[in-house]
Amino acid sequence: MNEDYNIEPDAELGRTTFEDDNLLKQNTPISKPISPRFHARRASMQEATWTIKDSFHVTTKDVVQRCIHTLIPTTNFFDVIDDRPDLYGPFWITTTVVQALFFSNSITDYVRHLTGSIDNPYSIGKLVSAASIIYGYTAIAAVILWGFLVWNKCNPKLLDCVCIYGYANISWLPVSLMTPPFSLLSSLVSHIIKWILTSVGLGISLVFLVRNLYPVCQQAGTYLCKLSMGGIIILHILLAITLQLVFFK
Amino acid sequence: MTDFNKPNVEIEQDEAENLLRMDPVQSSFDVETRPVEPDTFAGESVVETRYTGGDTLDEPIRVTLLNEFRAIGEKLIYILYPKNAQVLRDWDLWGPLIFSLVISLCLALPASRADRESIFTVVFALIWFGEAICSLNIKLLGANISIFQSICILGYSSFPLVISSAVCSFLDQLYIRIPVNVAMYAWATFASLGVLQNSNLVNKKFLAAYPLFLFYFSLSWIIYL
Repeated sequence: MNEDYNIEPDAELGRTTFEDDNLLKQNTPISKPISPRFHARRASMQEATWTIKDSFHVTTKDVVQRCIHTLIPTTNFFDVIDDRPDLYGPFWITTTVVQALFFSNSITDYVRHLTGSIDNPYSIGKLVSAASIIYGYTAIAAVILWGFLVWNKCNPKLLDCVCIYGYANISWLPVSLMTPPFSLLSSLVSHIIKWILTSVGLGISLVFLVRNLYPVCQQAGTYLCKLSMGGIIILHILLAITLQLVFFK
Repeated sequence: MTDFNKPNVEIEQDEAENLLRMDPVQSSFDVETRPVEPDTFAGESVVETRYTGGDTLDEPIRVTLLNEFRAIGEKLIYILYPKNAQVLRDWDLWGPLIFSLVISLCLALPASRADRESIFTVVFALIWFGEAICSLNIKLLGANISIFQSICILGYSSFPLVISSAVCSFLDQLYIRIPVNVAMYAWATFASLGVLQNSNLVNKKFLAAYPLFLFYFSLSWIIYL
């Protein structure tokens, strides 16, 4: 088992918690075609010829597994990724969240329009603002994280950062789908329930992000680690508040 | 058929062609695009240009339009009743353009004056960028299908949404709109799954099909509203 712990010059983020490897290998047999060590070596040899197509070598089972491990953050996500970060998951999960936000917002507006309290049944501007908020947050936060780590010489991969933030968006999907009935009731209890729902979604994604990024930021030193963790948490809380105020009214 | 509308052009062409034909060096060139049988009618010699596989700029406009309409009709019949997969090989983007324009217009016109432009813009952009991204996704997942061909198939598969948008812009009753929308959404999605049938996606069928579900769902949801 020693061969798994070689320090490679372009090691990816996150291989710093070793105790989870044994747990992982015992509990969840991931169907991987190539062993991680061989794949990492091959990736370092072929680094000049990486194309976008390389980040789509995932199967259905892989994506579903990654989604489940995001919602139930028990294992280290970078082990689940297993050195094959993909662009399919983050992009389509983000797009689904955009559509779900617009769907939930417009269905409450439509029902209110049917009962006569609002004039126009939907506003297409919500779709545009949903897209800009979610896509913008995912892209910009991932790039900021990557830039911060590059600045501190941690050698991250941009694709890993995008993966983390992309898969973290999945917690907004059940939140946005469960909000419409409570928005239609419009009493104090339903307001409180909506805030609780949003904070549950925020909590799940925050736990996922913090748990997976804490070992990474530790490489940057303790002071910068606390700073970056604080930054990540604050940004995510801001996103949750924005979503609540714009979409879940 | 002789064209009475443009005698001058035909006469000039005829003289040039005759000169070319008399020149021994030039007569062997351009065998394909030279007209074969010069006719004379009522003293003017008119030339009948035949479509021999050269460029289509020479043929009359109505022949081009008829060819295009025939292509669109063949593909529509394929969408209605998928029998002959060869039809999808020669792609064209006329059908998707017409369908997207009709959908965007049907959604934008009933709306209030302030929203009209933004609805048209958003729906039109959503259709084209959504189709492009779905096709790109299918291509990146490893299918050996060209991007334009899959855009063509996705665009033609949105023809049921044209029907539902036309219906929903005129009728307001809930018990008509909901079944029509659901049926058209199901038809569009199943028709577009034909883009996946010839591709060699091993484990990724659902990964490639899910964006199609999402795209047509978002379109039919906006149509329903």
